[in-house]
Amino acid sequence: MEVIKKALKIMFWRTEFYGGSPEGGTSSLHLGKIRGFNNLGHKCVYVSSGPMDLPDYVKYYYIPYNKLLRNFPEVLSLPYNGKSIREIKKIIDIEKPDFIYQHHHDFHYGGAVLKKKYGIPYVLHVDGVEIWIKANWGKLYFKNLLKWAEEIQIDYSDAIVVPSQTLADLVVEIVGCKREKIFVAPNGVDTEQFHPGIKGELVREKLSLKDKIICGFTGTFGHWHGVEVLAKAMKYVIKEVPNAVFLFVGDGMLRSNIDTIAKEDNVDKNLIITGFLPIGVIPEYVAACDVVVSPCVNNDDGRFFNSPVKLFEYMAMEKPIVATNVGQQGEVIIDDYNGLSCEEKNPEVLAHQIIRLIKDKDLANRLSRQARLDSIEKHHWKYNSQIIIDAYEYGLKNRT
Amino acid sequence: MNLLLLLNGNSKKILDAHNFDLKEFNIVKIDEKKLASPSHIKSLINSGKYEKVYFGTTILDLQRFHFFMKSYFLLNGVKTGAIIDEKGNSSKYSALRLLLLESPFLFFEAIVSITVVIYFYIKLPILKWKLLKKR
Repeated sequence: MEVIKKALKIMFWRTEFYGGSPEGGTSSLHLGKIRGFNNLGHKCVYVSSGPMDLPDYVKYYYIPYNKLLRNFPEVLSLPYNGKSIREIKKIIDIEKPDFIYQHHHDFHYGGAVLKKKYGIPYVLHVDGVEIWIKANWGKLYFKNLLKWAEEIQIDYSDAIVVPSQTLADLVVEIVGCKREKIFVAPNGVDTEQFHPGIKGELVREKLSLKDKIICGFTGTFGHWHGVEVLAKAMKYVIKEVPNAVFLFVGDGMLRSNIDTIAKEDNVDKNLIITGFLPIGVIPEYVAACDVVVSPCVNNDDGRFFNSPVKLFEYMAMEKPIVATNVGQQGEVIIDDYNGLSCEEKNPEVLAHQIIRLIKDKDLANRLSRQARLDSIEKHHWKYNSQIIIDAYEYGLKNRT
Repeated sequence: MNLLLLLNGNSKKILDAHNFDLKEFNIVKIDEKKLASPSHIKSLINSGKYEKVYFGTTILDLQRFHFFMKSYFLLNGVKTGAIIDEKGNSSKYSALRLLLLESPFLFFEAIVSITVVIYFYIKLPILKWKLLKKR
């Protein structure tokens, strides 16, 4: 891996309205990339629409949303473009970044305007095609506005970074931009922050789980995370391992579904849902687990375009992992090599693999050691950050 | 018994910040998207005989849909309610204030929203043409 010779200054720009919670997947992702850039010798400035817990070496600017227009969906994002563009121009004049790394979000097109007006290069981070996400996972009120904003942002960017090949194909298919400007950078992990030296005893004590077998999941309870499948797997595991407890570290829209399934299967006493926790404590919670699970599922169209950060965190923590073989997960976790793999949406099979890891310590140890090695050699955030730099360099060479 | 409908944040932190006793509360976690479902909220509020009903959030100023949450209080006959956060801030419900002050403000917000949407329906196609025409 070639390290760029000049130390760059990168401006992270986060624009969505995410309320008061600095936790969650996007925050974790951004922190990882920032650490990756730092590792490569580059600096970051972070401009955000909400609060963030950042390392001391990152300068932080807050551009809040207007207090008006908070009672109707989607509308508040539109005028935020104008406000954030005006404010960020002042920040650019102070900080003089080499480029903007903007996290693509619905109705936002500020990167395109800044490039047009002021010539600042921008690399767009795309986690999902917003028009697809809203149509499939949410409610969409202003379809054309979203479509136009997204086309502007994606087509005018100097380069795009996506976490998976599947998403790269989706971007080309739906929005129609040039494939060559899309760079695939799977998510990663900070193997210094997540490592097997971290102990989970305090968490076990706090949750009164000292002698229990803990099966853990961390993350947001969204559509593609497969949390309902894991909840349905609980009863099969508990039948074989009565002192097993399922620890869901996170929160989200499917939380009540998990509770309902656990109650119906009469295993709610073996379930703990922590809610969102500060990102800094996540390693301890993973450390407390005996087995960790990433039960992701394909979308209804049969595709899986995500790159689950939790998977790499599990690997770095040297934990025995069960992961479904969907999308990129199927490429990262190789069955019986660095984890146990299984088909999606099958609670019994998922439970079977979990039970195997609980009962066979030698197997669990062998797989988890390899997982840790793989995380260091292949999945550190610095590799992801270097691809972003490559994308920026491509953008510079091919500017229109 | 009281009801805390937890949108986001930590329920213990929220209740502690307001010197509420955890034992006096039934806590139900709801997704913000469920605020668009009046029947769902109604079923939660009417699921028990609650003296007071609260919506809980991390930071009050960063929580959307205040008006609709308070409307649910009105529509479901809640006498004492508020939106509360982890810092001890609260936006108390009052039927009179909701009808006489907050409703006209919502009407104003609706007019502004419509104007914003119309403005962007004109602006975005022009911007798209300007930016993407030569590519």
